[in-house]
Parts: sequence; C-alpha cells; structure tokens
Amino acid sequence: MDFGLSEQQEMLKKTARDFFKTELPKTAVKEIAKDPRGYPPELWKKMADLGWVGLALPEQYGGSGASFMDLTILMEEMGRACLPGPFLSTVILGAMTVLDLGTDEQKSAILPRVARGELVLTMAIAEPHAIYRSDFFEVEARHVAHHYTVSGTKLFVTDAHVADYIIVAAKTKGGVTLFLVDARSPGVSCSLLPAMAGERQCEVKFDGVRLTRADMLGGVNRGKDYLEKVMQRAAAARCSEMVGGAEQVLEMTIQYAKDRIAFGKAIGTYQAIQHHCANMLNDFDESRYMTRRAAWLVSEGLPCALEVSLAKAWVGQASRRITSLGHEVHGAIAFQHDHDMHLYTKQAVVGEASFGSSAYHAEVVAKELGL
Amino acid sequence: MDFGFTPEQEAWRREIHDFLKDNPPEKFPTQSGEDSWGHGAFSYEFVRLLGQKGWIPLTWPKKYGGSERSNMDLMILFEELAWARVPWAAGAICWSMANSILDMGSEELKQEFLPGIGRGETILWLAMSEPDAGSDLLALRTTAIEQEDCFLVNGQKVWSSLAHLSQYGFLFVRTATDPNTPKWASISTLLLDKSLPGVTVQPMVSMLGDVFHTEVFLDNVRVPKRHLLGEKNQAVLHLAKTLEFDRFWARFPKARFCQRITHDLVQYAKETRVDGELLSQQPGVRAKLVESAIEIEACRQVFWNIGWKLDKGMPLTYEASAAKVLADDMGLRFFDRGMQIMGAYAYAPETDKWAALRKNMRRWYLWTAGDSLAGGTSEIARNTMATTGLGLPRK
Ligand SMILES: Cc1cc2nc3c(=O)[nH]c(=O)nc-3n(C[C@H](O)[C@H](O)[C@H](O)COP(=O)(O)OP(=O)(O)OC[C@H]3O[C@@H](n4cnc5c(N)ncnc54)[C@H](O)[C@@H]3O)c2cc1C
Ligand SMILES: Cc1cc2nc3c(=O)[nH]c(=O)nc-3n(C[C@H](O)[C@H](O)[C@H](O)COP(=O)(O)OP(=O)(O)OC[C@H]3O[C@@H](n4cnc5c(N)ncnc54)[C@H](O)[C@@H]3O)c2cc1C
Repeated sequence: MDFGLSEQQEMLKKTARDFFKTELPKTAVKEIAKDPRGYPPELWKKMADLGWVGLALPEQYGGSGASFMDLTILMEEMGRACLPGPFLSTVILGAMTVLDLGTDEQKSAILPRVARGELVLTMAIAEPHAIYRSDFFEVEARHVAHHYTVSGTKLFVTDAHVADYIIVAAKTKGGVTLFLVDARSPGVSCSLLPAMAGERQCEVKFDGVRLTRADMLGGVNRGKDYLEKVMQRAAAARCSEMVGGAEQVLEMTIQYAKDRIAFGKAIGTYQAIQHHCANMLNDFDESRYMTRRAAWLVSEGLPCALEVSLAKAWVGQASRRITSLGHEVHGAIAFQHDHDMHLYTKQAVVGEASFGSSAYHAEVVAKELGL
Repeated sequence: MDFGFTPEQEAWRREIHDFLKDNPPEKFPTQSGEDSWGHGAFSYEFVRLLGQKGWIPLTWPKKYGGSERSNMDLMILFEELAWARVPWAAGAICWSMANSILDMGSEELKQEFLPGIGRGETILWLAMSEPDAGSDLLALRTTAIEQEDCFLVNGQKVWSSLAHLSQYGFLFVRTATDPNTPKWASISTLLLDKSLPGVTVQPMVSMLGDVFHTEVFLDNVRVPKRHLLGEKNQAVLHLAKTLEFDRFWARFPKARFCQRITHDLVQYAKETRVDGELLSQQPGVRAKLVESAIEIEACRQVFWNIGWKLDKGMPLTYEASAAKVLADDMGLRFFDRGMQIMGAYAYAPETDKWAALRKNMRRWYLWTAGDSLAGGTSEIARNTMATTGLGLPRK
C-alpha cells in the first residue's frame, strides 16, 4: 500500500497548478462561460503542446504513455482551476475508447490528431428515457443492406457542439454497438442544453445517419459491457476534478477565516467556524482517498465497480457539503458573481449529477452488497 | 500510488483468518461485556492466546519479545480481529500504552512491563479523567508528592475503563504543586500497581446495566519511584503522543467492525420478510444499508492513509483527531440506522438465529452515547483539527 504520489506525479501536479494559475485566471473562467464555444482553443492548443491531451495515449500515437492514474492527478488540477472545455469528453470518453476498441486505421487516423489538439471527441450515451442503462436505449442503428442508419435522440452529450467526432451508443439487433460518427455527417444536429456551471451539454439528434461497418468501434454488440467501463472511467475522472475543486474551496475558506474580522477578532477564532472547517477537512480527506483508490483500480485494470461507485456516491455528496460550508464561512461575499466560490459550488452540483448521480451509484453499491 | 496488498500481506491476512477459524472468539469466556470489539467485551483467555501467538508485541523490537513487523501488518491484524468481533476491549488501548512505554520508558521499566503486556498477562487501564477534569485534563487534582523512596499519591480518578480487570493504571498525576508552575510543566505519568495499599477500585454501573467504568480512589498510595514513566513534570509533552496512539489505534478497527455488521444486516435483510416483502427489497432499508457501506469505506480509507503515514514515519498533526471524529460520527449514524432497519423487531422474541444480532444492536446503539466522548471528545478533536491542522488562530 502506498498513498504517495510518484515524483513525476508531483511534478505534473505542480506544473499544472502553475500553468493554470497564469493561463486561466478566474476572470477568464467567467468570461469563457459566456462564450458559446465554452472553451478557449488557444489554451487547448497549449495544453496539447504540453502533452496533456495525449498524456495517457501510447507514444506511437503521439502520446506520452502515462497511466490513467497520472491523468486523474492532472484532472484534480483541472478541477481546481475550473477548467472549462472538452478535456474529459475528448480524452476519457473519446480517445480512450478509440484506443481500446478501434482498428489500427481508426487509431492512426484519430489519436495522433487528438494528441496534437486538433480534434475534439465525445460520446453520446444518455437519452430521454435512459440515463446510463443501455437496455432502455431507443436510439437505434438499423442494418439495411450494406450499411447502418442511426436514428433517435441523445441527451447530455458533453461538448458535442464543438466535437469533430461523436461516439454514439446505439441499439443493434441483439445488443448495443458503438459507432464513431463524424459530427458533420448529414442527419446529425446538435443544440445546447441549459447549463449551471461553464459546462456545455447538448441534445444530439440523429436522423437517418448513414454509417458502415468501418465506422463501428469494437464490433457488433460489444457496446453494453464496454459502456460500463466507460462509466467507471468517467466517474473516477469526474471525482478527481471534484476533489481538486474541493481542495481549493477548503484552502480559500481557511484563508478567509484567518483574514476576516468580526467582533474584533478573526472569525477563524470562533469555534463554530473552526468546526465547520474541521468538517470540511474530513469530507475532503475522505473524498480524496476514495477517489484515488478508485482511479488506481481503474488504472490497474482491476475490478472496480464497487469502489468507483462508493467514491462517486460519496464525493458527489461530500463536495456539496464542502461548498455549502464554504459559503457559510464566507458570509454574503461569496454570494456575488465577482467572487470565485460559486464556480466551485456549480461545478460540484453539476459533477454530482454527471456519470451517475449519488443515487445511481448507491444502487450499484446495493447490488454489489448483494441486496 | 498503490492501493493493493502484497502477496505476503495477503498471506498474513489468511494466517489470521485461519487462526480465528480454529479459535472461534465466541467460544471464549468473557469477563466483561457480551460481544464485539471495542464495545466492552473482554476475555483474559482470548487476550492471552493472542499473546502466546506473539501478536500483541507484533511491531515491537525483538529484545522485548516483539517481531519488528510493520504497522501495515498490525493494521491487517486489527482488521481481521475486528471482522471476527473478538473480545479484547482493552487490546488496542494496552497496545497504545505499551507504545508509550517503548517510547519514553527507562530500560528497567521496559524490561519490567513489556514482556507481561506482550504475553497478554499484564493489562493496563488509562487513569486520566477526574470528576473535575475531563476535557480540561490539566485541571486534574490527584497529587503525587516525591518522597525519598516513592511518590505519595492522593486523589480520585473516574471513567477508568476496565480497571477492575486490569493490573496497572497509566496514571496522570500532579507532581508540581506550586501554583506558579505552569500546568503543562507540573504533570507526570506513573504506572500504578492496583494491588498497592490505598488503591480502591469501585465499579460503576453504566447505562447498559453492566460494568465498564470504575472510580479509582487513591489514599496515600506509595508508588515506587522506578514506576515514573518519562521525565517528571513532562507528561503533557508526551500526552499528545499517547493520546494520538489511543485515538488512532483504538478506533482503527471500527470501520472493519461496522463492515462486518453491515454484512450481517444485509444477510438479515435478505432473509427477513415483513408485510409480504423482503426487507432487502424495501427502499428505505436498502438506502440505509448503502449509506452505511459508503460512509464506512470513506472512513476506512482515511485510517489506512494515516497508517501508511505512520509506517513511513511521516509526522502527524491533525490526523489522529480527524480519524477520531470520523470514526465516532460514522459509528453514531451507523448504529442509529441499524436500529431503524430492525425497527420494532429489535425487540422480537430471542428465539431465532438473529437473536444475537438484535441483542447486540441494542447494546451497540447505547454504546454510541459514549463513543464520541471516550479518548477526548469530538469537539476537542475538532478544535485540534482547526488549530493544529488548519492553522486557524486560537484567539
Ligand atoms: C441573500 C442575501 C440577502 C441580504 N440582504 C440584505 C439586505 O437587504 N440588507 C442588508 O443590510 N444586508 C443584507 N444581507 C447581508 C447579511 O445580513 C449579512 O451577509 C450577514 O449579516 C453576515 O454578514 P457578512 O456577510 O459580512 O459575514 P460575516 O459577518 O463576515 O460572517 C462570516 C462568517 O463568520 C461567522 N461569524 C461572524 N461572527 C461570528 C461569531 N461571533 N460567532 C460565530 N460565528 C461568527 C458568520 O456566521 C459567518 O459564517 C444579505 C445577505 C444575503 C446573502
Ligand atoms: C466510554 C468511555 C470510556 C472512557 N474511558 C476512559 C478511560 O479509560 N480513562 C479515562 O481517564 N477517561 C475515560 N473516559 C473519560 C473521557 O476521557 C471523558 O469523558 C472526556 O474526556 C470528556 O470529559 P467529561 O466527560 O468530563 O466532559 P466535559 O469535559 O465536562 O465536556 C462536556 C461537554 O463540553 C464540551 N467541551 C468541553 N471543553 C470544551 C472546549 N474547550 N471546546 C468545546 N467544547 C468543549 C465537551 O466536548 C462535551 O461535549 C471515558 C469516557 C467514556 C464515555
């Protein structure tokens, strides 16, 4: 057992923290939220040049060959920086899926360009009547003569409005199949959904989109089992971002408690405030270790269904408690747009709902317990 | 990063598991409590058997009968003992006091005490609290005046857990009585032989109806000078460490213990039908079991993290206090949910196979009224977290 980060991981974390501090001030985060694209392509390019977009891709595809664990350490810093944009969708949902399931041609065509920051990817899973359970999918890929036509509506597809490729999980005869769809294909249309934080989620409609066998990822009916893996990865990655955000909330709250004077003393001297801070610390520590363990299991390819769901269920609730206490200690100042606190509050709320809410993961835990 | 166990650690876990299978804890007579780890059950016979195996001094230096194993191995041992719910209430406490002796005892003192503790024959109790000195321990009034050949001790201790079953008290006393000496420089630790003239141990009946605590009256007790632990008047400096051990080790097994009970409750829910429906199918019951499972694991990860830090010799600041708060809050909610899952059936006739679980659940629930107080209250622990851990100003 070893809870420590490796030297390289420490380096990566520090580099990322410094990078975001200079490249992504919170004023920029707030500006970007108003931009319909939802992310600054220049920053994306810089991140790609640093090797972060291709961090966990093999060197042969222009990546750095790092582990999923390393990636989640980087994503903690992204959560801390409130980085908007398609990192999770491109890397975790898109590139890792292509890497696992793609043919040599698909991998060579897609992955090096992803690593260079030239392509944005995403995956379309949820639907109006199926959040993540593929048994209830309605989007269907019909086999007609030598091709497939895909029709139906997908929801909450992150960053689809800027994506070059969308991996769509569609019902096929006898199962679920994944297809790699060029987002500009005739019949694909995309509209933005309401947002809470700077996130961009879309409704994507597929209207008789014509595909061939060559667009398939991983073969016919391989989708269902693989989607579970996607969910585990995405949930672990989301937890990492939330843990990074929670750390920043804790730190800024402590600082504020030391600086703010009320009744002639720093509010941090009042025990009510001290105990709020202690409770935040405990929620944070638990979240971090649960998340890192889940990410490590994913990274090692070990069974992780229970541990990922334990983490996501916990972190979803704990980060909301942390932001809520953060607001309490800050008083009215953090209620204002100018303050940074609300960025984290929103991030935590959106994070809880994505890739399985706490309630969803609680049900996974129930099954794993044998209930 | 590595959240796995080595093959040697897995083998160690199996070894303990097999030992417990061959020596089922429920077969041992108990002298206190009825069932469960850390909730009062204690058996001399079981503790001595652990001693015979060499598992009490597991991490100690060889020359005191230990086998110099890692803290990780000790944690694995604690987890397995907790899962099996062994009757060794004072075990972890003894272990932490033995650590203090290792840490600051003279060679003579180590030779005198450690072998007996290691064999499970010498049991110690913690004699700190007094009627007017609980959280504010430094307000204690029991005095020990140094004489030519001994310390002359007078005073009264309270909440001394299991003193009636122990041989020695880990006794905090005031050795400097000059009112101008600061409190932190006036307190010492003595190892108190319970059989000395002038020591009276008076059992106290708890809200559970049996004896766990005692009051200890000290009337002109002559404690030999060699039984002074560490430097005179310097106990407060050592106290932080003693309490740290106590908070960490005494609670480390709790998560695993609660996981075991969750396991039993899941089984109970899957086999118990009420109003035509299995409890395991009832949303309210499922939700409570799952909430528990999640919270227990969150708590367990923090404990393993601290254990890993201890193993690496990393300094601890707030961690033991944080762990105490987490474990006791978790336990409070856990047993509360347990009682709710059983509902009226917690009081059903004790005729079926779940009788022991019901009876224990009622006891465990009542125990939680003391958990957050024992070892220093959760409020005091949060104060430590905020000031020592997070650097918030004290005034
Ligand atoms: C939605 C909203 C509407 C509002 N509307 C109005 C309005 O219409 N008119 C108006 O005048 N004001 C209004 N306010 C301001 C509100 O009254 C103040 O925010 C509130 O009194 C707290 O003051 P503060 O924000 O400066 O926080 P602070 O006083 O700085 O407090 C910060 C933190 O320290 C804690 N704290 C401070 N002193 C102590 C102590 N002695 N012991 C323990 N804890 C302590 C507080 O509880 C808080 O958690 C509004 C605020 C909000 C959020
Ligand atoms: C099950 C159990 C086992 C125990 N075993 C032992 C043992 O073996 N040996 C031993 O010596 N003692 C033992 N104790 C005693 C225990 O250490 C004390 O109960 C504890 O330190 C609290 O002291 P008190 O009960 O006098 O409460 P008090 O100190 O009077 O506290 C009452 C309340 O006030 C709060 N409070 C006090 N000071 C502050 C402060 N500065 N800030 C905020 N809140 C404060 C406390 O948190 C608590 O909620 C045991 C207690 C229990 C319940």
